[in-house]
Amino acid sequence: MWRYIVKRLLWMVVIVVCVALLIFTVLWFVPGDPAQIALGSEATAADLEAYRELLGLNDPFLVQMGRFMRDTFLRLDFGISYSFKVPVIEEFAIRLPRTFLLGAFSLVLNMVIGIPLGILAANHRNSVIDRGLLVFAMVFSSMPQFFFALVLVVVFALELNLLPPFGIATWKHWIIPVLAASLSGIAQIARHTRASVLETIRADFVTTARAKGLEERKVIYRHMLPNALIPVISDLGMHLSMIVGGSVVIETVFSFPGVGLYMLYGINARDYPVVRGCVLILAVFSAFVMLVVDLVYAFLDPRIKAQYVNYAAKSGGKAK
Amino acid sequence: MNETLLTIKNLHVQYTSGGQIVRAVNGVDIELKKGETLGLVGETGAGKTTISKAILRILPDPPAKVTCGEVWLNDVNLFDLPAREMLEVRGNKIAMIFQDPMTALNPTMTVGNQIAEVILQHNDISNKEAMKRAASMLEMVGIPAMRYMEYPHQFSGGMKQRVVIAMALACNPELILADEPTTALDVTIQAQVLEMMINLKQKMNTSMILITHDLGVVAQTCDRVAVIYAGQIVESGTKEEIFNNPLHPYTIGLFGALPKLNDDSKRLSPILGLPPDPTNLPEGCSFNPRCPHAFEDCTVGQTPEMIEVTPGHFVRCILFRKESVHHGISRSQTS
Repeated sequence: MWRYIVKRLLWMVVIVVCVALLIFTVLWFVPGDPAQIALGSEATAADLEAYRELLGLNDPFLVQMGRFMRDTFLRLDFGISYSFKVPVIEEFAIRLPRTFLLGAFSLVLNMVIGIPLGILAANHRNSVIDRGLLVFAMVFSSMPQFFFALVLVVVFALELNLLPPFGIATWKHWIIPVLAASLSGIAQIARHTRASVLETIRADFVTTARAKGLEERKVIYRHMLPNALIPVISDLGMHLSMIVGGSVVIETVFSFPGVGLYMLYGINARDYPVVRGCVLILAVFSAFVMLVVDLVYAFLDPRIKAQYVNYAAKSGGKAK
Repeated sequence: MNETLLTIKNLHVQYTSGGQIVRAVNGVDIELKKGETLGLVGETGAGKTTISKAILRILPDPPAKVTCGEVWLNDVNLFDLPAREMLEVRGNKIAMIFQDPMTALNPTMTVGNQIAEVILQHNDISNKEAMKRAASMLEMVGIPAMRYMEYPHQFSGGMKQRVVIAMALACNPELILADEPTTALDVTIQAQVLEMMINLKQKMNTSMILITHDLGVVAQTCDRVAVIYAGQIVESGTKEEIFNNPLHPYTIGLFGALPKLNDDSKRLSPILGLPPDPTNLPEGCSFNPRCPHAFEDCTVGQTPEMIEVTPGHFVRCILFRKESVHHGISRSQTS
């Protein structure tokens, strides 16, 4: 097991390095001049040239890439934002917790609302509750997030005047963004849970558990749910990395000062250090969430754990 | 040996499927003595599994519904028990061995704990004690106790079935319902598992209803046999009576479909036709469309009554009514 984890962590390093090379190259080819954007249209050619020289943008591709890779991976320095003039890492210290918190709240909502809803629907299959949930799930999982976010703002902030429409000054400011980030996830988790529970309800081992004379409560909590929820775990992980990775949309709609919004500024201003830093951080985060999901999976399902152990043993054997 | 343990009276079970009513079990009467093994033989879909699940009251409702009948265990009618008390019967007084060991065990729980669970449920003992007893149950079915903490996927099919059997025997039940316990296993393992079941059953003096479509298994294990067709028992008697002197045309057909070693015929003789559609059972005797001896009386009215031909040997066929001797078939005609 440990071998497997170490191996996965090593792979993560490889992936992140590749992402770094890729994002650097992509930004190199993206049209637009950071100096022009920073200094405005009235700047003289000499000013622009001096500014570019200052940022090191006149160096050849490989030199710049080498500098970027060295700073990022050897010095853990993401550079200084061109437009904010503040080290990217300092901005992260403020913004990352907000975005993660948004993701965490949303994950919790996915779990505490999505899973019980799915179980409820499965237990009342074909009832009004079940049909209603399926309609809800279809609507919310197919509606674009930004549209839904705007509807929430219109209803709760502008019409009902209950909640502030943007910013993060108080806890009230968090409600709409978290809801907007969660609803499609809740809908999908509920649907997945429902399908998985329905499949497990008919499983033979559930009948076995009943034939043992267990109370229905024990049959459900000990035998049915642990098996039914395993597939849902991977969904939850995917949603978390989607919420954090896709935070650009939600953060833009609500002017929520997190990593997503920061990255958007960075892209618009051709602020390369900001964009690179954000992309890398999100890549590391996604890879990490996937690893955690896989480990949780292995912890819950002995069959998968066995695969990992065998896998580690096999690859260990090869290395010799 | 002569005390009656289980009495089933006039059991009817229906399934509702897509607005249609499937009559799976249509008036089954069974009597089982202590220590006795009854073989319930019949084709797929004859209602065998439904009967055993109905006894334990674990039929999925809906779609299944027991519409009529009584199941007496000693002097308690299980169908009158409140759900709470029924829990104490399941796994404790009546245990079930399921058909497919591959899916009958919870994949996320160690095999030992799955056995300990049933022990803990029905005995007032500590966790530790239950685990100890579960370990000794494992040993009893021939699995080293050191494999207690392993998961079902680490076991072969035959070993899983042993675990299922250990689970069923863990609380010394008075009655075991074995639903095709060997069907999913290959032949050599079948023999081992059967032999083990017979030994354990004798050791504990348990009664058993063995559901199977394998007459070889019946010959090896049972005291009495009930042949079931379209949700009804069509013939019942001691194993010797049924094997040596089958009376019902369906039973005769079943034996005719067995391969014989001392016969050089190239083909087996199957029973022609298909089991009847349970949503639309034929009038009169359910077997009449496939019966080589059917005549007009067989196709009208209710299904025939059970007739006691010799003491203890019952058959549901009007050929054996006293007044219709001229239509009687004899063993010599068919073999």
